[in-house]
Order: sequence, then C-alpha cells, then structure tokens
Amino acid sequence: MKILRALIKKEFFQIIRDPSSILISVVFPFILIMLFAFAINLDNNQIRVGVAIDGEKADTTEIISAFQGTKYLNTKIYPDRKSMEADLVHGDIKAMIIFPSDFIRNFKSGNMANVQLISDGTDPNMALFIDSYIKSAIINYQKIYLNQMGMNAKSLINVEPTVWFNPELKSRYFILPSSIAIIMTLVGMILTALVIAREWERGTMEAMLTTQATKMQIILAKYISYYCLALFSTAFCTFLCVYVFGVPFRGSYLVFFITSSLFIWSSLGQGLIISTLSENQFLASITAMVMGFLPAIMLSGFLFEISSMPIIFQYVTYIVPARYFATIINSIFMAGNIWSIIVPQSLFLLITDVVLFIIMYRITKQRLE
Amino acid sequence: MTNYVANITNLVKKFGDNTAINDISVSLEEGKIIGLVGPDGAGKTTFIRLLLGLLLPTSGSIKVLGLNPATDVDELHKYIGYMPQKFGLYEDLSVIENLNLYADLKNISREEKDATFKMLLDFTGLQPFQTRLAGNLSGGMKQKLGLACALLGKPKFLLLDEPGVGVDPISRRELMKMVRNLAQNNMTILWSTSYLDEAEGFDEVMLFNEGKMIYNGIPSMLTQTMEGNVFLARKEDMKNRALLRTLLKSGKKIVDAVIEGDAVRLVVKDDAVKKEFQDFITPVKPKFEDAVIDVLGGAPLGESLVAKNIEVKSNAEYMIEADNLTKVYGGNFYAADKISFKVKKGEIFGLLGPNGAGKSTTFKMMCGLSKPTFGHAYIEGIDMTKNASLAHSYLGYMAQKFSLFSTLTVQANLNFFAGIYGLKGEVKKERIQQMVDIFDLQPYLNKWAGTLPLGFKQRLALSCAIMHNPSILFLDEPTSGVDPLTRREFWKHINSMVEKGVTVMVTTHFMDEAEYCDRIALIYHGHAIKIGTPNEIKQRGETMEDAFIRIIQEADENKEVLK
Repeated sequence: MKILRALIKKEFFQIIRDPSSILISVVFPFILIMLFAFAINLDNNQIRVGVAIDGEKADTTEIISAFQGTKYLNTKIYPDRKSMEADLVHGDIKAMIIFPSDFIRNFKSGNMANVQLISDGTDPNMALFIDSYIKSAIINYQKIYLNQMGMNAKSLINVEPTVWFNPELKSRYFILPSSIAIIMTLVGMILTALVIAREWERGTMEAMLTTQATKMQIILAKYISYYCLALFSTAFCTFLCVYVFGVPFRGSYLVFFITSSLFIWSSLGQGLIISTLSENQFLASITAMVMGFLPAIMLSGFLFEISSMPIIFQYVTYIVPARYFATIINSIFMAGNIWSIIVPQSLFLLITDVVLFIIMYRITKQRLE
Repeated sequence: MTNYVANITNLVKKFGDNTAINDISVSLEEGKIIGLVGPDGAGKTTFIRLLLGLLLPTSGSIKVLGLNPATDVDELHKYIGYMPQKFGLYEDLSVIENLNLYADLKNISREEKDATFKMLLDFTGLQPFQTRLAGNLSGGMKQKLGLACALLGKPKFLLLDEPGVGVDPISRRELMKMVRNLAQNNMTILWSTSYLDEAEGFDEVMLFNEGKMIYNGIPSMLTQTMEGNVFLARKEDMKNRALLRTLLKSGKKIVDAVIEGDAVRLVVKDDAVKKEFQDFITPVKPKFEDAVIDVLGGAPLGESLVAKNIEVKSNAEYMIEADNLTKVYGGNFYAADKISFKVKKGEIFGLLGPNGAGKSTTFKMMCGLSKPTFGHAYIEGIDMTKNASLAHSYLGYMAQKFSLFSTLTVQANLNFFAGIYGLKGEVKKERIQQMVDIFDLQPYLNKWAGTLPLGFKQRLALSCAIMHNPSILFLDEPTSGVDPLTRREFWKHINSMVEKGVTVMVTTHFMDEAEYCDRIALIYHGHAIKIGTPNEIKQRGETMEDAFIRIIQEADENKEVLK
C-alpha cells in the first residue's frame, strides 16, 4: 500500500510538472471542442441555390418567393442559364432551378408544368437535402395557390412531424457529446501511451524493477493517476458543452460519472498496452493515434452511421470502445437515463476494461526480456 | 574464510545469434570493490542485468547472495542496490522526492527514512540542493543522487553500471572515494566502466572483451606482468608523431606504441628489439592499459594508407582560428566566454573539458552550426559567419559515435557522403574506390553499416569524412566507448594524415586521448582556462587527469578569491 501510494504520488508530480500532460489533457480538449462546435457543422443552414427562367420572361415572382420563404435556402436569381451554370461549376451555388418559358402558362392552365432541378452531386447528402427541400417548397406553393383559387386542396394524409430530443435539429447537440468520447479516447490513450515508454527510455523502469515494487503496483499506479487526470479532462469537456454551448444534459451526473469511468479505463488500458509494446515514445504516440483516435472517429458512429457500414465493418465497430460510450453519452445528454441503452453498453465497456487489464498485466515484463 | 556475494559458473547469454556473454565463471568476494572493465559491447551491462535477474541466462548458473536471480527476484532485490546507466532518476522530481520515492519502493520505514536521508545527503553533499529537480543537476550531482538512491535500504551488494559516463574526472574521483568508504562496511561493489585508467583503483578487476573474460584478479598483478617492458622513446631528430609512425611500420615485434607527451610510449617484450632500441628508450612504470593491450594481442601495427593521396594546398597562416568566440544563452548564461586560439597547419588541437563546460558549444561555432553571439571563427582565413559553405568544403567532420546511416549499406553510405560533398562522375567513383581500398571495405560493401564490427564502422565514418580531401578535420568525441585497439587504429590513420599537413581539431573527455594532441585548450565554465602542449599542462609525474583536476581546482580557488 505504501509502495502504491508512493508510486501514485510520483505520477502526480510528473503530471503536474510535465507541460505536455497539461497540453494533452486541457488544451487539446479545449481546441477540439471548439473545432467540433464551430468548424464542423453538419447543419445545412442556408444552402445557396440559383434560379433562372429559360427564354422569355414570365411572371414567376410568386413561385420564387416560395423558395425564398424557407430558411434553408438562399436563392439567387440569375438572368440566364449560362451564368448560373458557371456558378454551379464553381461551387458558388449548390443547385439550380430552371423554369421553362411555358411554365406559368402550363401551370395556370392546369396542365402539367415542368421545372428542372440540377444539383451538385459531389456532396451526395447535400444534393438529397436540396432535392427534398425544393420538392416540399413546390408542393407547399401548389397548395397555397390552389387554396387562393378557391379550390379545395386538402390532402388525404397529413404528416405531423415532431422531432424528439433535439427539436431544433441542431447538429451541435449531437456532435459535442459524441466528441467527448473522441476526446477521451485521445486523452486517455496518448497520455498513457507515452508514460511507460518514457520510463523505458529514461532507464527509470530498470531501476524500478530492482526495487520491491510489484508489477501490479506499477500498473495500478499508472491506471489510478491517469484515471484522475482523464476524469478531470472529461469534466472540463462536459462543462464546456453544457455551460458554454448550451447542450442539454438530461441524464444523471452519477450515471455519467460511472459510464465515463468505465470508458476511461478502456482507453487507459489500450494506451498502456501500446506503451508497453512500443518502448519508445515516438512509436507509442503514433500507434496511439492510428489505433485509437482514427477508429474512434471513423467507427464509433460519430461521423458515419454504423448501420450503413458494410457488414464486416459493423462487426469491427464492436471492438471500438468509443462506439459504446458514444451511444451512452448521446442518450445521457439528449434523452436522459435510458437504461435499456446504458446498461448493455456499459456491460460491453466493463468487459473491454477487464480484458484490456488482463492483457496489460500479462504483457508487462518484470524482466528486460 | 572468504565469503562470496556471487558465484557464477559457465554463464552464457545469447541474443539471437549474438553471444553477449560467452562462458564466464567467476566468484565475487565480499567487501571488495570489483571493477568490470571493457569496451562498449563487451557484455558488461548484460552481465550486471543477469546478476540482478533482469535478464535470464541462456545456460550456466548464477547465485547472488545465495539466491537464484531467475527465481528469487523479489527476495534478492531486498539486499541489492542498483544504479543503472543514466542513473535511473526521475528528472522531473526533486532530489528529495526521488529519495522519498525510492525509499518507499524499498519499504523503508518513516522513522528510518529521516536518519538515512540525512546521512546520505551529507555523504553526497546534496544537502543544499534537496529541492532542485534532478533534471537540473549537473552530471556529477546526478551520479551522486543515483548512488544515494541505490544505497537506500542498506544493500549488501551494490551494482553500478557505468557511473562514470558523462561525468567529469573530478566527480568520478569523489564517487570512488565514497564507494571506498562503503566497502569498509563490508558492502560489495561491482562497478562497470569502459575507462581503462579507472581500473587501477579497484581491488579486483574482471576484464571483458567481446563477451569473454580475459582477465580476473588484482589489477596490479596484471600491470606487473609488463614490468621491464614499457619504455618512453625519444629521438632528437624526430618529432614524436614521426617516431611513432616509423616504429609502427618498422616490422619489429612491438606490443604497443602510443604518443605520450613529447615522446612515444612503447611496449616491447622481445629482448632483441629492446636491445636494438636501447639508445633511444628509457624504461618507465607500466600501466594497466599496457598490460590490457598485451592481453588483447597487441596494437595494430603497420602503416596507414589513408594519407597516400592527400595533399594540402593552403598557404593560410593559421588553418583554424577562434577570435573571442562568445555564446550567450538567455541573456546571461555564457556557454562560451571569449575563447581564442589559433591552430597551425599540421597541428592536432584538442578541446578538453568536463561535460557542460562549453567545448561542444565552441566546437559548434567553429563548424558554423551555431552562430557566435560575438567573436569570429575562421577556417583557412574564411569567416564562418560570412561564407560558411566555402569554409565547409575545406572541412571534414566526424560526429560522435560515427553518425552513419545504419540501415544503408556501406556502398550507399559512401555514395551519399560523396554526393553531399559535391563529388561527381568519375572523380566520385575514383574517390570511393580509393576509400574502399585503403580501409579494406570491399567485403562489407553490401552490408548494412549498422551491422559492421566497431572497427569497420569507424573506418567507414572516417572515409566518409575525408572523401573530399579536406585540409581540416573536425572530430567530435571520436573514440568515446571504443575499445583501446580500435582507438589505436583510429589514431594511426589520423596521425598519418597530420603528417601530410592535415589540421585536426578534436574534442574529448578521455584524458589519455589528449596525449595525441600537439596543443590542448582546457575549457571550464565557458572559459579556456589553459592552453598549451600536453607537457606544459602536466607537471612532473602527473597524469593528464591529475593535471586536469589540479588546474580546475586552481581555477575554482581563483574564482573564490575574486569574489
């Protein structure tokens, strides 16, 4: 016990005096939260689209104002098709709507009126969004027009859309909590990936192995001290999300504390394993980056929806702890304590923790070979 | 009755195909200071780690304090103290925090701690520096702290792995004195070192070479075997360097010949040769190193071909000149303070000093790798700060530890260095072929540089540095960690080039290497405190190390007076 306490104390001294641990546990998370909050925006607010009328002028002001009415589109009117095409190719506008010269005539006379919609498919998601926005804007306009004409345009089916948990559909509410999972992977793994490698590099591990400290004590001291640091980092990120960016927090802090702890232990386990295997700080940090950070971003469901991945990748995601934690964290922030999600995901994390700890214990050497 | 702390029989340790320890049997006597002496790669560290149970033997048996290190590691560690290379300190912990940590790791009770710390801090003189971070201590102080940490828990057996590396001679002597005190209390000390001149201070030595133990016993016993075989040779009409060259290529049965002061230190066992040389040799007391060279089979004889094609066409008065070189860091730290010297053509000039004294800083400014805060560095009269690239074409540079590309073949290394020195086409081919012929590199051309034997690595590094026919050669700690035979071969090549007019500037912390220099500048606290020939620096009967320590102590006293 005395030995463990002495080792933990040593780790804390090192953490406090090493600028890189503060950098990784406070400055990096801060920068990343800012990045995720401002730079990465998945909301398609105000997409720029162009409108033009082919051939002779006709009175399309009314229908154009229908597009301008939606807050999702920013319409620009072009005198002709050619200049609009140039802007589309340039990427200045994402789609163009072209009314043929006979549009108003056909429309008013009750014949089928055609509108051409050309969108930029380089971003397929965006193209789909635009497609549905414009369609719904036109249907809407049609409805209003018919009503004005005194015709009954009642639909037979009325869809009443309501969005739960995130009624304003702010993607920030989704991104920021998930990003905590990513940041924690980074902090937990990079920090710890360095520490054992550093002891080997500086020859202190060799000195320690000839004292009465046991393997278990050495490992536990690393786990405990870096757990505290990572927990601090988590609290800091959560504070930024909730109090600075106003992300709702609907679950309980206790559940969040327990699940974060489970997750941190898994990151620390991975980091320490990498550190033990690489024995040099450079290799360790690169490995942590590639093995930890990238899978956490790509395979946790943060950037890419897991259910739309190829089956084989869906299986791979089961070994990415960030996947479980991202699910838990989203439900705690946005929906509250949903036990049917939290309990099974936490169990997965717990299993991961135990497995990683056993591997860590097995591979830690008491000798130099 | 003699007690032994360790009994080792037929110990073998292999790493893959590489045999690090080759059939060693030895018993270490209690209460002795035992030196483990040998060049880098001789197996010293492996041997210590085997004793500690940090490595497991391939075959053979080890008993340390009656325990088997392979199985009773935990029990064994209660009775031993170990200071690894680089001292095993936490640099971001203070002196007292390091002590506290290691005391706890060795299960020392709180009551015991206070008394032990006081004793150790007094003993090591670290009392005033308790709160200083270990990383901010000087090499000598780190070494003492490492020793203090290793001494916690009153070990019966203390193992020190190269405590002298990176530490100046003064600190090394102090450490030896401290260890001597400890041995009086029946503690056994195993001290590994690659400095042969340290060996004479031990009660007993084990001399390792290439994994084999080539001598075990009292050092003076080995030294005595050379009694009557060691001489100083001097000839009126010949400079020491020329004499050395003549002797080496004479084809006579010579064991060893090196420069010492203005003479040549000669080891000859053959009576006929002694008789032949009797006119110009006077017998001197043998040293441990003389005997070691004999055990190793004698120094490499013959002539170096390296200088065959060398031609120095320069008429600068001074080839190298430092004029008030000063380097200030952070506004008030003078790493080098008004250092001035001039080196003539065909001279070997040495920068000698403890680590951190400023010799590397000076060296870097001379090469143009660092810009002086003020003052100038001239190479063949060219100002380094103004036209460094022209000056560089006259320079050959060999960095510490032979900085070659270890995963490139010998051929690729040669091609690369020829390329960066601007050699092209036929000239390049021709020069590379010359180097290959002179240094016998042909059989190794397609091997990785990192896998070469040490002697050949050194030859390759030297050939890469001189391929463009430089008139000036800069050598930065060229032979640290190199065995004495390889070192002799290296100096044979350098000497032959100097004979042809090449000028050499060398930094070293090996005192005996300083003997090869025509003149030496002693650098201490950023000042050149003494410049002169080796004989001017040494007083009667002093070794270079004695002289060095005396001059530094004088300098310290003067500073006290000035304050």
